[in-house]
Amino acid sequence: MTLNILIVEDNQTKRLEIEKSIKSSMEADVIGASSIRQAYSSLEHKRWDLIVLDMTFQVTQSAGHESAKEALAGIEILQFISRRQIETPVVVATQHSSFSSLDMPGIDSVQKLDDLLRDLFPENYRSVVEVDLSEETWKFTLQREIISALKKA
Amino acid sequence: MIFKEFKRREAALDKITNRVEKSEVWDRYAIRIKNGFTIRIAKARELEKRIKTAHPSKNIIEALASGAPTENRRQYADRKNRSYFSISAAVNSNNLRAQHLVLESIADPVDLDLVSLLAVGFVNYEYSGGLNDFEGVPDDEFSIIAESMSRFSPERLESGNYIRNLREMSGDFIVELFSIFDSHFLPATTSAAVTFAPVAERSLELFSKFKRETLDIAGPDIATVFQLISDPTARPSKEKFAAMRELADDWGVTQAFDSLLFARILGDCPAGKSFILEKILPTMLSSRNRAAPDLEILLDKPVTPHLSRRTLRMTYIQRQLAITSRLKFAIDRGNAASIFDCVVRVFCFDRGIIKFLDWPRITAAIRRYFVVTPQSTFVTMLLSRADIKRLHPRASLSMGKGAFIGDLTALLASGSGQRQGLNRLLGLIKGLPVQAATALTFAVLDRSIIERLAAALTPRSGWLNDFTPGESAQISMLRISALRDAGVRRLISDAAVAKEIESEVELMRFNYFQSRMRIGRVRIPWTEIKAATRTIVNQTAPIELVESLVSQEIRREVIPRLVKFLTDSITDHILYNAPVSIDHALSNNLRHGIVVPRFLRAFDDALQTVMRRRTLSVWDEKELRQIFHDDSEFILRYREFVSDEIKIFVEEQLTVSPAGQLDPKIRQEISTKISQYFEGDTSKKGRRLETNVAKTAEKLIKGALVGAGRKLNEEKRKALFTEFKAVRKSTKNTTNSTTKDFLDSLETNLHEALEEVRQWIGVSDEEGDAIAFKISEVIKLELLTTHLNEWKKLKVTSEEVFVKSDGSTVSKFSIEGKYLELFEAVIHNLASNAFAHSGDGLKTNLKFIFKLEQDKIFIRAENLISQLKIEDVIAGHRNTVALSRKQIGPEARQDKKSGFQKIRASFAQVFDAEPTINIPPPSDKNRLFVVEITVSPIPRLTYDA
Repeated sequence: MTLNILIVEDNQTKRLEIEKSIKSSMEADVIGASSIRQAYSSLEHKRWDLIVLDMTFQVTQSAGHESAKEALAGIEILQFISRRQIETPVVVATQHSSFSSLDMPGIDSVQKLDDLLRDLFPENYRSVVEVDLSEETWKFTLQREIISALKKA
Repeated sequence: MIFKEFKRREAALDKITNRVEKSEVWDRYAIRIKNGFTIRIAKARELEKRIKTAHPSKNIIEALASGAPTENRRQYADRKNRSYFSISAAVNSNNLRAQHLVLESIADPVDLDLVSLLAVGFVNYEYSGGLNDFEGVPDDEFSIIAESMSRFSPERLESGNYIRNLREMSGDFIVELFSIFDSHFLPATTSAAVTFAPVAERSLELFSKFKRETLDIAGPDIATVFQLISDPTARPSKEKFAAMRELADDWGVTQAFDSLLFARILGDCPAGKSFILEKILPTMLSSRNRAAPDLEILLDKPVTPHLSRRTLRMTYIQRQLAITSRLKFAIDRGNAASIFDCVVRVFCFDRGIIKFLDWPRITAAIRRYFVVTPQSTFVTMLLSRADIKRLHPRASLSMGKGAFIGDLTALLASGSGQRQGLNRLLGLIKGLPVQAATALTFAVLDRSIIERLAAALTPRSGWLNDFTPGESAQISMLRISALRDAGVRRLISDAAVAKEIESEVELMRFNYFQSRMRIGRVRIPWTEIKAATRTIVNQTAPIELVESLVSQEIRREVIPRLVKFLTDSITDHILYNAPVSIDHALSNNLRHGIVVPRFLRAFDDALQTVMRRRTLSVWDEKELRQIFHDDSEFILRYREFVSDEIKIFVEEQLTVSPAGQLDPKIRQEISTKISQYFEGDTSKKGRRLETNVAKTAEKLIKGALVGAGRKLNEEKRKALFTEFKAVRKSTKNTTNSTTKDFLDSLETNLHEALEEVRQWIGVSDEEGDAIAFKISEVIKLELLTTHLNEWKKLKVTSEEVFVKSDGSTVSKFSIEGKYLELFEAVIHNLASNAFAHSGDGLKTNLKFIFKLEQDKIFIRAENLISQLKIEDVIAGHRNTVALSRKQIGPEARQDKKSGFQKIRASFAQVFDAEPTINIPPPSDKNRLFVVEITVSPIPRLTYDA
């Protein structure tokens, strides 16, 4: 059976690497959304077997405003699917190691992010994978976590 | 209120003055203290007036809540509106960093240390001086210092009863309150030091940068009270509550205090509950409720406040108690529907209280309740508001904007026809109470929400990239239509609708101009190329002449030579020589300050994301080392690599040269067309020669640019990201998270730059008349194109004036769309020159003046030259003038020192008239570099005015 997997990721290199990694280990139709906004379209109109979600997005409020890294921008997607009772498992894939922000200080490790998401979104959130584009090992971890998440689903 | 408290203190001061013996201390200090106090009273009177003006609302909670930090920062940064109660801004900033932002923005940097000293009352444990250390400060400040010292550490005061007695001005409860600070600084031997240390730290941070203007008027005490009462982590004792309320009473803000206290007891606050039960409730509850043994039982059911027989109307605080107790009742029972209803009621009663509600418990109770109603949507909307997010980050994270969109999409019916409009949604919102409906309408009509809703309502397939200009226009239309509907339904005022629509229309206009620059930037005036071709043919070998050659032998001999000559003339003209040549267009539209800067901007933007407080990015090794440490070397080297790679690409792919591939191809094709033209039957030629030549050149140019775009997308992309991977490897072991963040941003930005430039590389397909534009729009467009993330910080200003035929002038006017490219070229070249040669880079102070008359245009660009560069500019003035006066030649298509030539060529192309360029000699006195351009005669450029 072909799986439907959505990648929500603004970094094109990372998105393609994740896609390659998924396709090399399972039969899957992979669609990528380059922004949170575009992810809504996919979530509303299709049932997904799994979502690979980036957590930190680069956002610009509007033309001419500073770009900024929003440490927990990806959480918006978890809020949406949780509220809409969409029972799709989510694996977070991040290149960052700290997620602290002005509003939410203290999330200074991947472990703390994992604890937070597990606590807030137990129905959807499965695990977090640290992506390091300078090497390959993270791909195996991602594959393993995806398979594990799909099994539990 | 404030004034009343000061009067009380003044009376106390007078009493002390009359009682104590006159002494040396009196001579030295007392007069100054009295004078200072008089000054403070005068300021207090002024402040009270200002507060009244700024906040006509009787409810001070409303006033406090309206102190959004952003607004506050802006007001103070602009120094325009000082009618603002600074305390509210700081008190309402609920975390240290936010407080810092507020305080840094409202306090003058030079005051920070002094303010800090004033605020903590000089109890810093390292400080051991006395009042004599402050001889130089003004009297009003001195009086605060004296008063503070008398409160905090009278032992440090010099002998003499007078100053010690100042303590009486405050009273014991204030002294007790301020012991919070004392205990923090004194050795931690008391239990108070342990209990209040975190609060003291927070408060110290708060006051350490508090604005002097606030402190010297109001003093830190009442601010502390509000700080404590609104801090959910603080746990004051019942006694402290009593002391704080007494102080609040002195300042006339009891109602605000009680209001916050009631909001607070919805959470875990036993001392607060106890205090309310014993001290506040008995005065306001009915006898039935008063009989309840404790507050928990009391609040187990909605409280019925005691109503005065005379008025039979509940006071503000009684009404608040009734609503909040109902909310607590609902939260305790996990009754989500009732919680939604109560929160809406609380909001309508007093929106200032909303952020103090117990959001963690509210969220826990409603998260698993999936029935979506306008009330539930209103509550999820509140959870995505900035003030609640700041005070209750965890609760906000669990729902927030995503849940809000979830509720909105659920509220919209699933039928596709209904989904396209938001009218139905607005109809549902209309069912809410007015205040809630208005707030929810504004939230729904926010552009970021409309964008998300539009995305959610539009099915897509394949890879999803960010929205296109067309989609942006659709979103604008959807928003405008929804705003109108909201106006018709009276959900928001006509004025608000008009304002929002105006800003949306502005955005649409801007997107329109920007989209012109988005795809296919190379604009080649084919009509003029055709005309030039026709002229060359007619002047060299008109067809009648060729046809007059009867002898085949002569034809065989002459025509190839003619073809060769014409081919070279036409090709050279089209590709290089004409002011409208293809290489000229490539230089103007892509090479000159456009492609390479776009890639370098990727680095600037990435740097911006990791150094948000910096004003401009500077690629200085020393400075970078401070940020990236050892990684700076790799980053700098990579930047050079990208710059070199793109420069090579530009030289190879975006330049036409006789040695390149495009030149011989075009030459060959044009030669074939001319041969066919001379050989064929002229009566059946179909398209004319110039049209054939232009079409051929266009086809080849388009093909060449498609090839260049492909090369950029494939070969260059691969080269850039292979090297990027190497940089990642080199910095792999870094412990500096800034490097990681920077590289992450940079990677995204480089992809964006590649995509954007790939789209630029193409021939513009624009047809028909462009819409009219304002000069300010072109300046904005130019700055956005090359300095997107910096343009708001650039110091570029402009003045535009149109002189009417009767001599009167107007500053608002539009120019015919067909002149857009001319203005783009002029502004681009003048701005590039200024940034490149001022010595200040993007920090250059640049001012444009445009003066349009009936048949004349005058443009003046003036910029400041840096101190370091001024001598060079003065020395090079003669050369600069020579460059500006040079007639249009091949230099116009160069990419360096060609700005003036490009400006000349642009005017020549549009008006057939070259401008006069005047560059007055700069002096090292004013360091001003001025370029004045005058063109006359010209046709009328403006539409309106």
